[in-house]
Amino acid sequence: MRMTNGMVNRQFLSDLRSNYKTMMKYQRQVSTGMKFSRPSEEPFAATKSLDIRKDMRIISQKQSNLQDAKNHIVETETAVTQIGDVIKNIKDLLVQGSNGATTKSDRQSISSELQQNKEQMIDLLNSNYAGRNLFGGYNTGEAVIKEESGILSYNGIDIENMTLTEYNGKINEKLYYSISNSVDINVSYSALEITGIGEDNLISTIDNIIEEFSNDDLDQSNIDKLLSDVDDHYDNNLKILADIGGKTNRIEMVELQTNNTVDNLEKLQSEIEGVEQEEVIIKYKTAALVYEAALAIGSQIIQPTLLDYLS
Amino acid sequence: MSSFYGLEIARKSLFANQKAMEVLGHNIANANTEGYTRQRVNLTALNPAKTGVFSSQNSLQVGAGVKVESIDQIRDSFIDTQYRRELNSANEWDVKKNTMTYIEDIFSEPSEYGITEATAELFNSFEELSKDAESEQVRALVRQNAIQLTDTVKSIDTKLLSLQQEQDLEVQNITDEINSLANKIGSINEQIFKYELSGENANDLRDTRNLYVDELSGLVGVTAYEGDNGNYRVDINGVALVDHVNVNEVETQKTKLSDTDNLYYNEVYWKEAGNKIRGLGGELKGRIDIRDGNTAQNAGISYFISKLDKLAQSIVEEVNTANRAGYTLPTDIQASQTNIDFFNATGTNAGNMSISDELAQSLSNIAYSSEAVTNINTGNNGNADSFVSIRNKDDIETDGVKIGNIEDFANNIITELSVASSYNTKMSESQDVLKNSLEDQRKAISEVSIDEEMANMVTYQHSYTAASRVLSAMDEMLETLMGMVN
Repeated sequence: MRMTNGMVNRQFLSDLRSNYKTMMKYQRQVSTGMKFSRPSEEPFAATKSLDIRKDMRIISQKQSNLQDAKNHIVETETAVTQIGDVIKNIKDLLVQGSNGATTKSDRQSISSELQQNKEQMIDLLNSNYAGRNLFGGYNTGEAVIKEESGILSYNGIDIENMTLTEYNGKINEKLYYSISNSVDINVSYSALEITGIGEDNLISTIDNIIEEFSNDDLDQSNIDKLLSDVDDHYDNNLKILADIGGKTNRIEMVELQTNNTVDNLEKLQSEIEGVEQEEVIIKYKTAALVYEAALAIGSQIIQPTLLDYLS
Repeated sequence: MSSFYGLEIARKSLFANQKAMEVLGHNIANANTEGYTRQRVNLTALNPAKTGVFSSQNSLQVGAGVKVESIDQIRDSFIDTQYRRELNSANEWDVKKNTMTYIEDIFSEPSEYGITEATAELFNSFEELSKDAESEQVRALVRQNAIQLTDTVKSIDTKLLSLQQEQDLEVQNITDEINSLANKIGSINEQIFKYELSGENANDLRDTRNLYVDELSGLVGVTAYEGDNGNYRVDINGVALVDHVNVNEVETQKTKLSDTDNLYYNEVYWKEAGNKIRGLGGELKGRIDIRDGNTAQNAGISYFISKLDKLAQSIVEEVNTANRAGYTLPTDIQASQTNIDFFNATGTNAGNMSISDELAQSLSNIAYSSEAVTNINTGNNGNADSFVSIRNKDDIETDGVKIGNIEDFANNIITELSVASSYNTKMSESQDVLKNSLEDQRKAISEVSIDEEMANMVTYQHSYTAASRVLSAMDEMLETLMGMVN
């Protein structure tokens, strides 16, 4: 093939350009840490990367949900445990007061202690977490348990005269946390689940004890009934604590899985998007060497013409 | 035979070598001229001069020296045709590659500020809403993310539309350029025709014409050929654009791009015949394809705009359905109500996606509750799950078009874009290789080589010197003869 000066020049420049382009590519890979800057450079990897990024966005939200669910349930557990302590205390006071040796005046001072326990109980049931009632269902702002003119109410409904339908409706006002794509967990409990309804609900039971203690003589059958009521409430409290424990375990299990998934995704993402610095730098060095060699050869080849040798 | 016959041969030799040297000088002068084709003197030996029918003593006839027959261009028109065909394709794919790369930049994915991120942010804030719906801050976050999403979608849409308009403007410009080149070729045809009537070659004019035809090939894709009668014709897909001196001009007419939008774009027509030009190529085809392409096989700007529209529409519809199912928070002036839109329901494409007036007015209009809200149940987040579950739905349909999962759909737009762009890049690169290889072949034949010209120069120089020597030898011989006469 006939070669002309122009062709040699053009070929030289075009090779030089493509060498330079390769160097630029490696340079950009090193400085951004990314294999590609536009998806079209690696369509397959880019597609993978988009999917991973989508999963990451979802899962980081789930992590935040998990954390919130955990905080919520820890807070609930603390309050329920404290309520249990109070119930235990009430039982002690009931046993102490119903002892045949105690006098009516002894019982009066016990009753005032019981009154304090009752107030503490109501306070605990009205506990707040992050500005929101812990045991209030959908009622987030107002006090959950109120006692006004002798009527005890939950979210404005008389607890002693609440129907079962109302009860079921109210305890279904749950707060759900979406802790994974498939799992929604409810971590909230209604105060009603702790107190129960009817005349022997937890708070009314305290009132009933105080009332019984105000009699001159104690009725043993009443005392037995009260004791069994308090025991029932204590059992119920333990049951709720066990339930909370179960949920905590579940949350922790999902958290563990989630963290594992995050690790895997991060690993996958760095494999797909990321570059091995050492590898790229070596490639860059090679490309630079080629570039310099091309420059050196080029300067040799494009300079001389026949003119240099004609006199 | 004349005594001065030999002098005459030497003179012709001097002239021929001088002419060759002049052409060589012209070659060197134009070694770097774009489109220049090297020229050669075509020398022929002259037949012996016959003095008479009975010149028996002249049985050993000597030729009459050298003649400059013509000055020719060294060019292969077959390679020209091949080169132009590849240039036509190369330019088409180059335009597609560049525009598609720009579309990728507009979408700027994967990144923290594209549509996939903005969509995910909105969905994430819905999950926050489900955890703490009555919190004013959380609802403010939801609204902010919704606005960010609409802004992102609108900004991409606007950029795509103006890119489309730029392509259209370019179609107009190319059309003007085609007419201008066609007219130039027409007038140059006339000059060449007149010039060559004398039997000489209009080499430099032909170079200029070839350059114009190259340029036309890149712009629109043409075939050019010279008829037996010396008439030169340039065709677009078999229809004459230039026929000798006659120019058949082209023009653009505004045509509606599709039934759904109100956009009018330029299509290219034959001005005189009034029919649309079929079989366009080159940059013009690239611009039109990328402007109008709305199928997966021919994905252009229109395609991605319609995908973006579908994404916007599906988000608007799904979120509105969720919001309409719930109840808003009561305010001082408005009791809790249902059937309220989250996004503006009339904004069902990317360009006019916006949050509803109600949401813009008050954060209380994010309807997370499943029942009318009074003071006692502000924490009712029974409807928040409707928002959260949008992200998990994978059977969404909009206008009969299957969207599937919204986030996957957004990802798929980018995937399709990257595949289309990568295809265009590869096509463009391989076309460039073909074009460059043919360009090299063409240059190998036609381009001036300085070394070669120098070598020829030495030859011609020596020939000239030799011819002079012959002349002076003849002169001496004659002098001898004349001296005898004295």
